[in-house]
Amino acid sequence: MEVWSRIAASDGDSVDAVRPGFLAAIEAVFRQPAFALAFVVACGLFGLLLAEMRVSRMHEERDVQLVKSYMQLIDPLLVASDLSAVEKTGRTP
Amino acid sequence: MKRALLIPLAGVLAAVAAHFGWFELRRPVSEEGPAGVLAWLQDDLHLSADQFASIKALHDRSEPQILQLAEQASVMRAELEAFENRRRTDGRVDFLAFAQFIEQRREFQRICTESTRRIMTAAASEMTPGQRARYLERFEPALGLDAGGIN
Repeated sequence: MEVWSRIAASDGDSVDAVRPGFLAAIEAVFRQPAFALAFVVACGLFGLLLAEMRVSRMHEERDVQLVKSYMQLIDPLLVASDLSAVEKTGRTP
Repeated sequence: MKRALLIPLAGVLAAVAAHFGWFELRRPVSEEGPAGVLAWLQDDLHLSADQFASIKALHDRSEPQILQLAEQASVMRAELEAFENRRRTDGRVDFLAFAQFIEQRREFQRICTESTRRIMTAAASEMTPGQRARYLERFEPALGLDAGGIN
């Protein structure tokens, strides 16, 4: 039992020896106001980029759907397909 | 140590706020029905109020004819199904009647395509060259027209 506790203690010592140095380095980097500001701004820009990509994809999908809807408005053959779909399902498409 | 945690947290918050803020601002608003489609057309092609009114009036005028053709198309579809059912149940096909029907159907499809082409030509004539090019670029593939057909 004592052996295991010694091993555990020595493991903990080695991890603790690495952790403070690593965290201290990170803390030192984030302590610089210029880096902290650049980091926050970069995160904001990344969020904007993802949002723009999402919006762009939604616009493309919506445009394809609206082109179809417009053709359904002016093409009698598509209007007929729509009408028969309504008759079959009893619902508006 | 607190600062080392606060800055990444602020970064995540900035990313989330920017993402949802921008998304809400630019998210496409979907409108249903013919009015929504025409509103999108106006927005997409940057139509003026006068152009939009003319194009909307054109579509409104065309609607009865389109519905009439659509009803005719439904009747023809039913006739085709009747031919198919007869072939399945009796195992016989009146080839002469079927050939006549196919010919009528081809002619009817030509009339429908012509009707759609006429509406598109009339709508395009209300547009500026730039708008017309964009309109045709969007809808010609759906109709299968050649570019010279409407220009």
